[in-house]
Amino acid sequence: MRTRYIQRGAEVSEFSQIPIWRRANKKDLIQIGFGLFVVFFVLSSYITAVLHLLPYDPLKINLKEMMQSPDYRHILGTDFMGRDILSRIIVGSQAYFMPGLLSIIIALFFGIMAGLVSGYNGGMTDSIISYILDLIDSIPKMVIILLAIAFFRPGIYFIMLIVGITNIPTVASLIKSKVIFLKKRNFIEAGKALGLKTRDIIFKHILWYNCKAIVIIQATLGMAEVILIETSLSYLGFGVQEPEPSWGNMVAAGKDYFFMGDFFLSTAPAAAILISILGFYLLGDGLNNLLEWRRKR
Amino acid sequence: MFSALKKEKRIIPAVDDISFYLKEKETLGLVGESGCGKTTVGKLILRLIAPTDGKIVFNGVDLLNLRKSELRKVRSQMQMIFQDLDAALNPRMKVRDILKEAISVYEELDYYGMNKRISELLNQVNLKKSKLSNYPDELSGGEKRRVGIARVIAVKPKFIIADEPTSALDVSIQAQVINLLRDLQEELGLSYLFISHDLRLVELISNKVAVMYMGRIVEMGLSGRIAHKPMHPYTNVLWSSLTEGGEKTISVSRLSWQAFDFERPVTGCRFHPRCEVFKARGNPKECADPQNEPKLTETGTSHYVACHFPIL
Repeated sequence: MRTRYIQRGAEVSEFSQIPIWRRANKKDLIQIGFGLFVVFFVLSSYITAVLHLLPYDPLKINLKEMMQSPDYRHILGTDFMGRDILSRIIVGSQAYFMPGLLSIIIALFFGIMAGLVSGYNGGMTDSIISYILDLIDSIPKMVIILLAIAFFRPGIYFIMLIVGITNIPTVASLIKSKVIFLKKRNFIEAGKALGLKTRDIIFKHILWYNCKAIVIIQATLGMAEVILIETSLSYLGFGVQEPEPSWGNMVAAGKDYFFMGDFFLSTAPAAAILISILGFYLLGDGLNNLLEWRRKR
Repeated sequence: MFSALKKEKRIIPAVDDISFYLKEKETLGLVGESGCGKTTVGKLILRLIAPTDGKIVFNGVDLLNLRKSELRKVRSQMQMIFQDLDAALNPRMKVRDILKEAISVYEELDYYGMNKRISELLNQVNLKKSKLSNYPDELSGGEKRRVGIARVIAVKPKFIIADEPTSALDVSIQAQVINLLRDLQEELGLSYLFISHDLRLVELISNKVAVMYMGRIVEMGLSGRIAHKPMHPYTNVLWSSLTEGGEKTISVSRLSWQAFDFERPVTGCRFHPRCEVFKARGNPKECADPQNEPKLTETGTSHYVACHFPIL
């Protein structure tokens, strides 16, 4: 079953010896590129904010230039207080990014640990961990978040902490099923016979070599979900508060003017939401295909 | 109604009352049909499966009394070649990483030392250097087996359990692998426990042969004697099934060999329901007597048989 691949007109090597970016599917690369564009957009928003490269101050009210349509000075127009929408969108991406990372890191770290431990050990440990995770999973996410908001009036970081905790069961169950599947495979036993430490078997053979794809997909899906939760909370008025820009509260603020013909006030941030969620989904999908190319062959 | 909820437990020992020894640089062949517990014996020795009772002595140390950290040290001297070609090979690791990992379990080497050791291993198993950057599923069966062997000798063992190392390989490659194992034995002073169902192969490579039937050793002795003068009816059947057209002391009636239920409890000698000698002698009582299961007894020069009526 060994196929030789032709590279630049000459027979060079087998598939695995071609660098990953060259053997990758074009479609995957486009997806990853699009995803990375979104990520870089967010990262660059921090740089532009720090270096004062923003076209306008996103918080500066300028009542002389209220409700302007897009033109060369305000590329996406201005809102009802004359603030530049492009600047607000750029800064608004910061509303979800760092809190989102926090939530993802919590969900992944605890999810991976719980999944590995319960999958590898099984028995009583597994029962206890599964019970706790089922308990978390059984409460609707939005209910927990709204309850927390009602009781503590927390900041966005605290909310994202809760989102992260509610995401632990999903990650844990995925990792656990993978571990149980892998545990039956012979190379784990062979590793034991070789004298590998259990730590090496779990973290190297199971997690690093075989669960990378799950982790990446969960990270990107988690980010997309975080954007949705953050924007919907901000839209409802629970998340980031005015005058701080967030895509959610920008859409909310613009919705009253939408039917009056001032289109860009909500559409621009809504489009940003759409594009970034799509970007994170595609990034995860593309990376997964790239890393899992062996399975598809 | 509750009887369905109660689990009825019946323990079938996979391996029972087995005892053998192996000297340095010697090869012991373990033969038997599939499911008779050959692999279990191998895994028990390595303590991949915990035995319920017994002793496993290696270099004068009983492995069952060892703690985990001590066991790890001993395991560096005992290794196992698994039957499944892909068993030892994590499908996501390149050959280089597989070998590197095996080497670094017990040795710490710098970059150049590692490369040197890897190419030394490749030399020992006759593998091309270009295979290092391949994934296991890009290798042929023989190459996979070689990588598996290289991975095992990377930890510098003294004793290797070779669990059907030639199954799933075609005949020419079987010969290569056998020759490779022999060369390695000479070069590195290895002892083998060679597990196989192929009696001819075992005779070729082993000094001693033990024949297993349903979790017990029924015959053990020097390989030449087992092959040419089998005493146990089971060995006789095994051997005569291979040598087509040769002289057969016992003719195998097809009926008794089809769909045999190994889980059915057998009293007395385990082999008697399928034994031709038993039938030929008119179903003697000793064979089915539960109190009188035949024990391995020395019959002739270091030739052990567990049978009431060995073929002499």
